[in-house]
Amino acid sequence: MIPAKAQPPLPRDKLILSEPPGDERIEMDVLFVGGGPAGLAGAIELSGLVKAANEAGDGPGQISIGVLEKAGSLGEHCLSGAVVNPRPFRTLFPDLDDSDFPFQQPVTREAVYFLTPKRAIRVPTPPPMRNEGNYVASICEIVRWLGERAQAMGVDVFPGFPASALLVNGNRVIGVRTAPSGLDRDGNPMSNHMPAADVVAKVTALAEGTRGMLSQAFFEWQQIPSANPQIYALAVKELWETKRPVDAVIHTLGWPLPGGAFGGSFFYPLEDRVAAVGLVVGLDHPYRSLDVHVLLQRMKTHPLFAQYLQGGEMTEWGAKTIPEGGFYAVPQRRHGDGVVVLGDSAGFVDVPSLKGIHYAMESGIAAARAIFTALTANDTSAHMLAAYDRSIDASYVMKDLYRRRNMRLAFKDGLVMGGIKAGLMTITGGRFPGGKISMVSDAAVARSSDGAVPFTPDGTLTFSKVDAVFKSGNATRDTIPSHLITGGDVPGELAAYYASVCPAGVYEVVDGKLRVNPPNCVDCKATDVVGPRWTPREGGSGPAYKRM
Amino acid sequence: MGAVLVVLEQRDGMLKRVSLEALAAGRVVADAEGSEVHALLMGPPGVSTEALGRHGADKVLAAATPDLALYQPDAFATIAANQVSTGNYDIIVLGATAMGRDLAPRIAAKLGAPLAPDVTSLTANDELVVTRPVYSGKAVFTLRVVKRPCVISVRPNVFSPTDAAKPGAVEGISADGVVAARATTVKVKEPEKAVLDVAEASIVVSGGRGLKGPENFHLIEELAEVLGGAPGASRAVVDAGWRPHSEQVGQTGKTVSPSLYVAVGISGAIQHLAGMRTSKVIVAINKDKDAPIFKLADYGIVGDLFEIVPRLIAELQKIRGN
Repeated sequence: MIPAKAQPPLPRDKLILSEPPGDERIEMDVLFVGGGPAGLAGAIELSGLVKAANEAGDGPGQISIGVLEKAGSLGEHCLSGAVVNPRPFRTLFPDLDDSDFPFQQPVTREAVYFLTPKRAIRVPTPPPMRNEGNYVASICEIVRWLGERAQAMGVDVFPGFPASALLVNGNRVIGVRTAPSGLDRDGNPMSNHMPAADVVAKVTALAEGTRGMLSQAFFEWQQIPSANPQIYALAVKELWETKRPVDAVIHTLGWPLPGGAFGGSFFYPLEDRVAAVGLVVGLDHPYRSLDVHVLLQRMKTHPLFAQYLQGGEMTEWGAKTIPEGGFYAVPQRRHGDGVVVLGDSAGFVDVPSLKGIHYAMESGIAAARAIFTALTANDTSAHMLAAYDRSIDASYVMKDLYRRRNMRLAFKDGLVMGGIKAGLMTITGGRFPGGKISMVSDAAVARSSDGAVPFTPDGTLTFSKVDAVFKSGNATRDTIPSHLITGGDVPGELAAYYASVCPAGVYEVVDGKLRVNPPNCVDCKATDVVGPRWTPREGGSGPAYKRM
Repeated sequence: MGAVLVVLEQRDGMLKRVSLEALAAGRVVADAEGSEVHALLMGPPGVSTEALGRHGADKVLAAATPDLALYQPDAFATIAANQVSTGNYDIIVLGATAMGRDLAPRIAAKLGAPLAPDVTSLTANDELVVTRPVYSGKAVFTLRVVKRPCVISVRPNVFSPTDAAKPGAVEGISADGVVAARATTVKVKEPEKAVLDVAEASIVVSGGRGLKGPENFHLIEELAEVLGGAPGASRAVVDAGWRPHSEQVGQTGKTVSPSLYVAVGISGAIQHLAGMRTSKVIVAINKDKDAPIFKLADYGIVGDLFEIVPRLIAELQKIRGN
């Protein structure tokens, strides 16, 4: 079974609209689509540049900067490990000290274990994974903090308004259309209906996060290639009040992942008795029934985890994909006329060090500088915005990604060979083995073996998907129209595959047929990678993460 | 085929936007019938007519004299009716503003022509069909206008100015003798205790669809009065005809930044939020706890406005009474 064969195409005609904006349009100078670390860092840097230039007397005058966010409140759709590299925070807030930033605690101790079903074997920490000088943090808290800073600087942040389509004129992006709200299951307006609104801007910065729909549509529309297709991993994460303190940043490899899957776990202490535990698995595995949520549940029964979690309480649950393709999967151009693409949407994630937040912010800062220059020159064409790509290409972002360009890709041959190759790559600074390891898209990987392991959750240490979705804070109304596009008649085997890919129970097999429960969706985008397409829906739908 | 005569409106020597909207409506008829649009400007000398050609006027007829600076009901109606009688005109279009509502029936009466007032849509294929909302927008009349000439007034902010480049050459017409008519406007006096303009008030109380109907807007007016503020409205209720456009807050209405903004029964379309986000203190009253307005509000009351607002008014009156 090859998932790509049954995958519906990207609904480009709905995502790219070549029509003039409506009369009720909102006009901005710069619009950031997505209120995550990339979009907010960009908005903050840009407003700072404008203010400084205006005070110096050679600024562009009043510049309106907006941020659209699909979550009901800032941060509610953000999920990350997270151990954060503070570098872009220092760039963005030179007057602040590390202790002012919204981090939980510095990383003091760290350990990497290889797990067998019963044992945990300590292994040396691979150099790219070393976290000295980094901080454990919650991306939700970071984003809320950045949002307050942005608003204090005059940025207009609009949570609850997803962008559902790019508005274009010829090759120029002129803004976005928001998703309407208050529609019933059949798409008819209800009493609280709010129609779509057009927001036009001189520059639209796409900072949608992982697997951004408008970003995907932009790259496809402009036929912008990358050397390798982007590949993704799915992360499922829980927040726990632990029975006893977790005193180190812990990563594990091995059990319970089957041999053909690439991934690992993270276990991060946020407070004395609050810890994050999660499992990340590449979607390029050959299994029809691999279920990351179930694997995480099994993993928690391992003594390494159970000693902390047993008797504690799971307080939050969530899931999200991660673009893992690295250097060779970054699109060759991340700008166009009136548009730039930032952060995860552009694929700025380094898998060997398990980080992307600082790259997202760095890309926002670089984009803001290019946009500022373009606004000052009164020319926001691709010619001017190309400065953004040049700046990122010359920065540590692309240098890091280049050095580790083949590291994640080496693991398609399994953990042992991958580990040996990755070690050599580290020693040689990426020169071994040289060249490029080619990849296919996740959806093109044949699912040749079953890989199912029966598991029954106990409701205290391990949980069903229904309980999990409840803990994501997802309170999407039941009557929402479906935002998921399945490929017509889905055969039973494929339906079962979708059900195992989706961590939130959106897909079920009932009487051998696919049943879709759209309100369960937590916007992780996993099935958008290998199966049914995700599209933007009513603002405020989906999870409501607090400290993920 | 007779031409279309669009009667323009100016104030203090500046064309009002509704003039361009009326031109757009006139253009629809003229294009369908293959005729021309003539714009009739009555006002003081020096009104800029530069935009008219760009927005669809084939010709501009200007009766420019200081005596016409203010709206003169008799004179305006006479000039317009004379123009229709001496020229070859089938349709006369005006904006349904305060002036248009007064002037349109006068012109119609002088010509013995039918009048379709306050029109919100217009089609001119084979025959002229217009619609107008009635009963505060709860029902819509569809009118087929058969007789020529006929007078139509169009509701402001419904038609968008059209980009149709036409010659727009200006031709002066005489207003001699008509100004000294039976009655003239001498002066326009602002009301002394005017209801505060929503764009200038330091306190704004806005109502939205949650009020259920125009008959409940007295709650907004009373709350605004007891707070010493101005009433405002969301676009949804202005579109529905519950409130005048002058009260609309939002990107397409008026952008406000008062020291206190009270949003009652407004869920918060992004245009509305964009139009009031800079208010210093924002209070929202809404029964839907997930309404976007609460994300912007400093204080939020989740509940039934029909219970909350009367109690608020009563309490505020008590405080003021002391």
